[in-house]
Amino acid sequence: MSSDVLEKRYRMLLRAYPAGYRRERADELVDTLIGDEPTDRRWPSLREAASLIRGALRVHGGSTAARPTAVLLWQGIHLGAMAVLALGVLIGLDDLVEAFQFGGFSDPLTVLRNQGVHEVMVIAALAALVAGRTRTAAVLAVAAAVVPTVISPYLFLNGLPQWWAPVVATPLILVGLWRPADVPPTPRANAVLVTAGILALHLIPAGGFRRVDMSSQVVAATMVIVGIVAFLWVATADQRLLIAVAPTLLLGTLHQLGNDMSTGELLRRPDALPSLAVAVLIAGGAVVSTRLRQRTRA
Amino acid sequence: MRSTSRPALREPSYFVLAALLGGPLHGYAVIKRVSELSDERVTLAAGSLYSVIDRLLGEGLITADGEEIVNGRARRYYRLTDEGYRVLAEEADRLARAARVVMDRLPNRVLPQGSTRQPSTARIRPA
Repeated sequence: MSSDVLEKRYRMLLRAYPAGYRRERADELVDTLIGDEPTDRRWPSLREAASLIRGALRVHGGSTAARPTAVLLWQGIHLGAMAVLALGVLIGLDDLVEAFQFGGFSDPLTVLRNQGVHEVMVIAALAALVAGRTRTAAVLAVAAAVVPTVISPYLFLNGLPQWWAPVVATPLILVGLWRPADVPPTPRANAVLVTAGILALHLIPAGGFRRVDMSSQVVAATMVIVGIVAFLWVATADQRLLIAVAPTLLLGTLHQLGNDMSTGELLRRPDALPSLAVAVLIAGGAVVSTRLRQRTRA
Repeated sequence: MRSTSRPALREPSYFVLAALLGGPLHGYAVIKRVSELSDERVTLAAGSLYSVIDRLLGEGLITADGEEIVNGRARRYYRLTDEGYRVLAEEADRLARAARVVMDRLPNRVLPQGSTRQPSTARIRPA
């Protein structure tokens, strides 16, 4: 009986794998997990659970594809476009709420003209991309960069990160139109999950670093370390995340550049050039290492 | 040194291939055999094993070799391909030569216990 319970729990964990892989391998994996010896275990061990989740992430990242590097690169670019638009939406919403909190209700039309139009258009571009309408998403992303700026140059003149989101996403979406036929599109649910993961990375409350008291700094440092370790644990298995996160870090750098910062300041601020440089290096490393592994294929 | 530009096998891949030298095995048996062969240094969890199996299948070093139904579940067996034998032999030879470089030069007093001064791969970890 305990073996039935254990099998049920293993099958729950196996839901982390893509459906096609699960159809092919679920029985075999359960057979291997339960083994030949009688057991009274009712729960998967932490090690087995972690190994299954990382195994599933690797398969999502294209490890079983005929051309893993192509899947990594093309799906990584697609996810990067989605993540950068989602981050733009998130920052835009935050700024909109803030604008209304601090006097925006006295002149709501101005707030909506300055920020609302842009927000709606970026949401539309993101929705089109999530729905798999890549061409529509490309048109909407270009429109989201141009139309709201013509209506009100507020976001552009302030170089706000959300203004840069469609600007950064557009070339990525356009490149995605040339995705080779043998590279499958990213499954929608998986793309949403990856995007949410990247947003979570940006939501780590690192503001405590700027506070004077030591306890806030310790809490912020702990959150940042835990967040980065968790991200790397996932992203070293599903390396598409390493590519997808790079353009989202570009938003911060472009915003800082727009603030007329000196080169020295840009290099010192961790949310400006250093994090972008590290992200680009890691993404490059992911592509090269996958390419090297693929080269050994018979 | 090497006849091809193939990177060295990783340790789990090496031991999975070595486990299949004795004939076709299913997943659970591969895990047990790998653990035995590596003196329990390499203990593969199922998720890691199937990542290795997928990679080796993709590289054509192993192939599926039949299925049977056990406890209502499909149990698949794997065996080495000719290419798998060749790559494994090449890797074992590389490790043996690398071990010999050290073993032939080690003074007797620092030889590991039980060593017969024969070239050994037991302590060498593939890159």
